[in-house]
Amino acid sequence: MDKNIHDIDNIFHKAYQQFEDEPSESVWEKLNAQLDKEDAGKYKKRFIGWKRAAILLLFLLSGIVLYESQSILKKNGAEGFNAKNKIVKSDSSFYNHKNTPETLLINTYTKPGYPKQNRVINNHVETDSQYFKVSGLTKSAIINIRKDRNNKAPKLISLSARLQIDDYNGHLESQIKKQRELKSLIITGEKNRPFLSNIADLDLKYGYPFSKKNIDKMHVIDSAVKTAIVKAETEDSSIKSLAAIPAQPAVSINPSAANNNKKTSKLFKPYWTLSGYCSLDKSEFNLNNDLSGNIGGSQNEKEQINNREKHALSFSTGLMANRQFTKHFGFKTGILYSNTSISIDPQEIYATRESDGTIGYMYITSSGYGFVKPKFGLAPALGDSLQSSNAQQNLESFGIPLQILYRIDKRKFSFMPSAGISLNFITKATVQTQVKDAFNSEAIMINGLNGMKKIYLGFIADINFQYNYNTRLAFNLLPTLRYAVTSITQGNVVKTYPYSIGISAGITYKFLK
Amino acid sequence: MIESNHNLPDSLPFILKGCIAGDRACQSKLYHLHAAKMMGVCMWYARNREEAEEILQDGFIRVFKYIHTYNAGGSFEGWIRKIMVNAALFKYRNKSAYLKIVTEFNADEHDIQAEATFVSRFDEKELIKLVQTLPPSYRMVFNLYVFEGLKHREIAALLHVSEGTSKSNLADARKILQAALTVSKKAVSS
Repeated sequence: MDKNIHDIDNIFHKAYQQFEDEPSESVWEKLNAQLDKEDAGKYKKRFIGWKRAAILLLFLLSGIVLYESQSILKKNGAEGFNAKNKIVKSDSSFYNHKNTPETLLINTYTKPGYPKQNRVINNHVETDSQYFKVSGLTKSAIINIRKDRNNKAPKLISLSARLQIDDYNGHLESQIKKQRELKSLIITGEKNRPFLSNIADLDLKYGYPFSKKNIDKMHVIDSAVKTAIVKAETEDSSIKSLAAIPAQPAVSINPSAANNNKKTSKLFKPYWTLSGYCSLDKSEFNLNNDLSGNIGGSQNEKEQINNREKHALSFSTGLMANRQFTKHFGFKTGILYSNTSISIDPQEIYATRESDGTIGYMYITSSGYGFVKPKFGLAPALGDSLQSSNAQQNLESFGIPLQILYRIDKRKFSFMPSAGISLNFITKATVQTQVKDAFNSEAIMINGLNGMKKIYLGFIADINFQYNYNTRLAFNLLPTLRYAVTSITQGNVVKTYPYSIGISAGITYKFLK
Repeated sequence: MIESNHNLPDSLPFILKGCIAGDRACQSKLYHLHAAKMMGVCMWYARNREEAEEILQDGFIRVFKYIHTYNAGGSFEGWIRKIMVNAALFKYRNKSAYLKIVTEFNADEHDIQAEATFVSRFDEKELIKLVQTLPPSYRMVFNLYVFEGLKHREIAALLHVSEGTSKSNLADARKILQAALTVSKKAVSS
């Protein structure tokens, strides 16, 4: 018998060693096509990191651009505010002012909430006075409003000017009731009867006869541009000096606007907030099967693992501290706890040798593996198998995020997109299941998984929609995305990258000094 | 079929380097150098030629994927051969319907008859056909035991069956092959 067995084995073994057969040409063609596909996948994968970095960069750049544009506006506003603070001169100083050729100061007022500004025109005098004076004028008085950086002409609501014409000191009033784009103003008229008109809208005839009656209040209210250049000329040779001054300080012109000016001109003070959150997340694992040893074994393939694991909704909660260091920019950090539940379909588990040389039934999950040693039956031999029932896997982790945020306030609402990284610590991993053979069954609890890393790095981004209930309390609703940048496994059959999309609700307390 | 790769040197280190870098000409070269031998391996593990070509294709995908892990100290052909066997195993496992579970092993049932004698010369293609006609689980156990020299414990672990099942399948496979060879021999002598 043994000889026959030996003969059979030899015959086949020899044939196996010697046999060669040319495959059909289509094999290489198919292989080539598949390699193309794999290359495309690799290429995609290779640039995924760059893509993420690019998105992050874009996000930060958008923030910077927004911040910069805001700060330019703010700066312009602040200049006006500073100028206003320096106003000390009186009417008498104006009238006593030695005429400087072609100097003109115009006061511009913005919409309520924007600071007032003063500008002296024509590069001759940069005065801190709210008054300006134009002298030595010969023909017409033209007030040009310089366009801002965005090439937008300012809107004129009304203009206030006091004209000193020859022996007459009086106020000229022109009320332009509609907001109009002001390109220039021309002051013309006969002696003692000059009037203002907007040459951009000559047909509208906004000129008013010069008279004592209507020269008290005129205000340039500039809603878009915070700087202005005014040039004044006159055709009237009898006008030896032409000056425009605001009729009244801002407060008396428009008390509400002045109050707003006070508010908005306050310097920003950095502050802290503390928020508590609860979140429901839909989490999934992205599996990568490229461990070099994993070139076979249906149980170990990522598709198989993916198919048998189903993620339930996970829960996370945490405390976040937010430091708002400018009006728009801030960062937040804190601690987040999350609990992920995964249901695992029944599977056959096989006896494998453990690292210490003993043999146990290996229970494989995407997060790691554990060994099962039931009390029933004989000690397992390599290759023996057991059936496991539905299993419940739980992963608990703590994360410490660090995110940069950009804050945009709109009345009682704030909108705060943020992005950053989080360092995550897996603190607990358990699998609960039941194993059975033909005669026995036993409930099993696997505490702790092999092949699982304790720490992994993740990317985190969220958009916080905040309702500011009062100055201290706010309510938040924020969709959140978390994505592991490093794998949570090491030495497992697959590399696993968890990610989740969730919606959080929270409450925020603002610490104000 | 063979592209411009015939100009490439046959030096294994050169080809390996190219394959690691993903150079398609080197991959083609490597494939065409080993395709016939590996097709020969796959034919033993497959049910037919089409399946063997599928295994060959899967096997080479794995070869190119894991070529960076090849240790230059060992035989490259042996390494590729091992990957082909693994590809065949993977295919076999995925077709679980093929699994024929034999839970008990009875040595008497599987005793090979003493009177049978064999001639040592058989056409290789005929032998492959005989192996291909075996039930997949028998074929796999027989191949792993006889061709790859694995122990029953190792086969059991690879196929996720018990050691007894592995022994039983091997004995059954031998019995079937012996019967087939005897018939063939009689046919030849008559």
